Amino acid sequence: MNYFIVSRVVAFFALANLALVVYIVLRRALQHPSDPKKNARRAEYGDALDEMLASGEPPSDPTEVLSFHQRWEADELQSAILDRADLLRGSSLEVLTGVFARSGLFEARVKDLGSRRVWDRRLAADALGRSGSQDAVRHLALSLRDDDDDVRSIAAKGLGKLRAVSAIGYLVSLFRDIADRSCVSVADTLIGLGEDAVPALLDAAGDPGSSERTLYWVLRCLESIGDPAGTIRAAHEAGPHIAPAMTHESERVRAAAASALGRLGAVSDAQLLRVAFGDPAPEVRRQAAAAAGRVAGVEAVPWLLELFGDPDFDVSYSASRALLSFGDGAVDAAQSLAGTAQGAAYERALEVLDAAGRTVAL
Amino acid sequence: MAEFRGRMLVVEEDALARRIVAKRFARSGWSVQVTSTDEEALELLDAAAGDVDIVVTDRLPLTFSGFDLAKRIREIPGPVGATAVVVVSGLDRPSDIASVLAAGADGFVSRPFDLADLESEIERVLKVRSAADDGQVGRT
Repeated sequence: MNYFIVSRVVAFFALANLALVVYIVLRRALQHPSDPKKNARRAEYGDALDEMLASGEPPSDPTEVLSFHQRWEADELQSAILDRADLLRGSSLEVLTGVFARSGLFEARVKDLGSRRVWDRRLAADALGRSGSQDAVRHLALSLRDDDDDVRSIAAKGLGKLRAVSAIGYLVSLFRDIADRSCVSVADTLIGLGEDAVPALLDAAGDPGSSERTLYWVLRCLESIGDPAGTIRAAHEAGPHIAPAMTHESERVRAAAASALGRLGAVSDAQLLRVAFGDPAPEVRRQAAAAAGRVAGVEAVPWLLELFGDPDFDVSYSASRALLSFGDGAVDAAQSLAGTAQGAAYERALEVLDAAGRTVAL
Repeated sequence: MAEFRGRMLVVEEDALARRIVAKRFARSGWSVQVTSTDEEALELLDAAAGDVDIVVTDRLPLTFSGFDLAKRIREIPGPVGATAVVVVSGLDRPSDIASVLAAGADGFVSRPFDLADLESEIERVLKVRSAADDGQVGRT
């Protein structure tokens, strides 16, 4: 009797285990079909999307031709949409954005941004940023406060891709409390936004409450955006905003400020650079010399000649390169210097004359 | 069925972009051939002997030591060398556009692109070409 009961119990558990294994295998097969099946489905979605792009408009109910029942099918549809969205803009992108929204994928990704699983949030931020949907901006802006650094930097990239001017203030404020490696992607986004980002960046540069890290990254952004054509209106006010950073206690901030001024400032900002020429940090003097070559007027020539004798080679070399941008008058001044100077200053003066194609009588 | 508009050669390395462009223009009446390489494009143009109305190409780092496809086409004597060329490129600074046009391209569309913009640019280029041809006929 006991043997009978025990054997029944064992058989029950064996069958239950078998059923569980079959269930897991079937579930997995449904959720993760073979690659050929996935590829075939993606190709079907791709054909339907390309047809919509060719006609220039999505059908009123895209789910008729783009239906999905399983999660993997939704993933394939999303990939097909986003791969195309990466290539397109304007009315073509609007077709895809419409399909992304009407198929329920937009809503699903917004929901994923609130998921407890970090990978769901990262993938959702990426998808929304690539979707082309301006409705995604406010959701991504909220994700800039996510606990996870990667979610924040993916959201920042997405906002850049969406040209989300309204999120610039949020992006700048991120520099305060994210890791340096995430600052790089936020900075890339702001640089990509270009002229639109300049006023907010200048405000942050001139804000006495800005942290050292914020100042450094904001100035690096301004330096990268620059104003080579002199067409950025806000750049005309760059000097007063950047000036406080020129005397900041952090060396990297002062160096970035000098460099930003050189890329964005006006001739009237040259006096600010004069202060940096006497900075105790060589990197600041080097950046100031290079900046003077870009924005200063001829009044900077004697300042640069002074730097020819700088004990740091990089500084004196930067000064000699900058001097060449001031034309024949500056080269004349270097020639005079060559007649009296010694050491590094003499060598730099000779290099200037050589670069200007003048013969030197030794 | 759309009216026949002409023959187009799409030279695009990105398979998806190639496919999207080809489908759009095939639907609007173009006879579209596609290829992914400049070399094959030149072979196809040679075989067509001037029968291709327009080449749409991306500007990629170049298999021809720095020369663009547009420039290579212009170097071919006869009707093949006169084929209209529209370049689609992610390099869209004014200097990039100027260098593409200087290389012999007739039109430029920046990437990412709107298919409607590409269509308009192709129409513009063909219209300019057509007006220039009419002018030449008128003068002779």
